Amino acid sequence: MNDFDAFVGLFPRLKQDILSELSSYGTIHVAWHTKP
Amino acid sequence: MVRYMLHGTQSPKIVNSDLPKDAFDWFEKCITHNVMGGKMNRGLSVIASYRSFVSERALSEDETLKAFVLGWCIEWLQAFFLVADDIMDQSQTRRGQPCWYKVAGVGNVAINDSFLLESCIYKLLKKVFYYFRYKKKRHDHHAQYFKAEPYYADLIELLHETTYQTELGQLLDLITAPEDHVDLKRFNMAKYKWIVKYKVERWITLTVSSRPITT
Repeated sequence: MNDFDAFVGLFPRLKQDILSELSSYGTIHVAWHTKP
Repeated sequence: MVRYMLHGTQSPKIVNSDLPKDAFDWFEKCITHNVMGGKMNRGLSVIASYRSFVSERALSEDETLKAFVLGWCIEWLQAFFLVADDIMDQSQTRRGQPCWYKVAGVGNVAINDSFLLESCIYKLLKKVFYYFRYKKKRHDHHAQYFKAEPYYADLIELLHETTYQTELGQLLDLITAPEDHVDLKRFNMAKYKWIVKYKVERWITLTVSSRPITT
């Protein structure tokens, strides 16, 4: 796979990284404050 | 708002903690509309410059992926600037489609969207560099607090400095050539060179210099 195709192919994965964090914000928040 | 319930001695269980669907869908559409669709010269320049710096050997899979991620961070930064710039210039189209703020129902929300696009850069850096260092799940909650990569601060600083310089270039561009009042007397070669230097040249510096920092 050339650089262009590999680069473009990475975009959906990075976008998913950003969006999936929005679904877990609350979990992170509560876990951090209840487990010293 | 985060709401949760306690179940005896167990860890709290989250209820309804997700971003509301309409906001989630909006953000997803914003990213897709604004980050993809360009020539991607800036992003692809990162991998090209990396290869030139280590020309004596082939890049490892991790190095290649890191270069791609950095390239996308630069594309995300460009998207942030373009969304804001199109509002300031009252442009109609960008990359063959309506400017984001011209899309039905978007309008001035695009101002906040541009800020969100910028914030994504630092989210990606934090997550991805954690992942590469520890090879753990990216969504491990510790990833939210990771700052241990030795060149992490240098990368953040480089991106902030480039943002600052581009914004200075944009300032001079806006006050020298306002869209609604063309006055060529405001223009001279010194101003032209300054705008070129800060709005364009600094980007080239960013794509090339982001590689030696990480090697």
